[in-house]
Amino acid sequence: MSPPAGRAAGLSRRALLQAGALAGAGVLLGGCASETEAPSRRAEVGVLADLLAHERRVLGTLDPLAASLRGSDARRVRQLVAHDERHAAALLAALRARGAGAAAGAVASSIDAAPLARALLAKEAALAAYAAAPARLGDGALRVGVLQIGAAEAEHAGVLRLLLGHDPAPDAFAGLA
Amino acid sequence: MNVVAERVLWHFDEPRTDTALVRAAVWLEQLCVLCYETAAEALPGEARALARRFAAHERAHAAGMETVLQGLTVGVRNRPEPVDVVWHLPGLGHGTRATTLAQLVELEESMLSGYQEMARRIGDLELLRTVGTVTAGGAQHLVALRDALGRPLVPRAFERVG
Repeated sequence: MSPPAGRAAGLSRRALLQAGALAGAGVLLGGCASETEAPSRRAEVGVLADLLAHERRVLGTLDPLAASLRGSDARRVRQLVAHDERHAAALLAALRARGAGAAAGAVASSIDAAPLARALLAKEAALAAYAAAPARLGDGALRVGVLQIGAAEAEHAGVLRLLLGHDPAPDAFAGLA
Repeated sequence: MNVVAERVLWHFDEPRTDTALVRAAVWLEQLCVLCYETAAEALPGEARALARRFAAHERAHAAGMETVLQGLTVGVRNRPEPVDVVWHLPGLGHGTRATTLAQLVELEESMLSGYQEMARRIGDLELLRTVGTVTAGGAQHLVALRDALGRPLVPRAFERVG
């Protein structure tokens, strides 16, 4: 099953994918025709709004956490915050591209300041939503973007576990199975 | 794109059916088991324990994806062999600790990118239910491997190769 020796890169579709709509907030804009009859665009809006709510809850826990930490721990958490702000911006852009900016505005915002363990719980809840979302999205490019954010969310949960002094990868399925 | 990514992603680029995509994923997860086992033999101390533990995780990923394949009423055709480790991760186990761990990072990143390609092209969305959990597990492997290498733990807001 290995590719033949000396095979040239030959990854034109991949190269196009990577050169295409995968930069910054544009990652979720998609634009490819749906590859399946369902889910509908309306269903996609529901999924995206749910993911945005998770991002905002996570930001609500990470923001005060970053302020309470010092040194490299603080820098690590601030990096997660910066990533999550980009995730939220991408989700918001995808919602607006689907004519659902108002729905995005109605999503519940942050919760109270919380300790590290609470931030991890919020992160794990977000991760579970991201892991389930691709199977509910009809747009292939949107599925890619959501998987890219989901992988980063899994990494964030791993970082928070490290900060708690725990194993960043305690089981095969990131605690989701 | 590094050589590991090129050779891993080839498997996800070639298939033209859902069944072939899932079959490629199973084969590659089995390859990951062999890669971690090969690395474990060469790594010292905590890194060896990490590789052994992640080999077990990859075995669980392979089993999960094989269950998806069986849901399509087809089975595994062939399994990777040690020579496939040599082709996909040249020199694995013969370099320094850092080199070996870095190759495993490239492998994990390539698998994430491959699953993203699979998710983009797949027709039956139900087949993706397992992919979300497998990729989450792979992403957390990356955190542990980067930590062992002293690298930034989450270098990108959107996890992808390149």
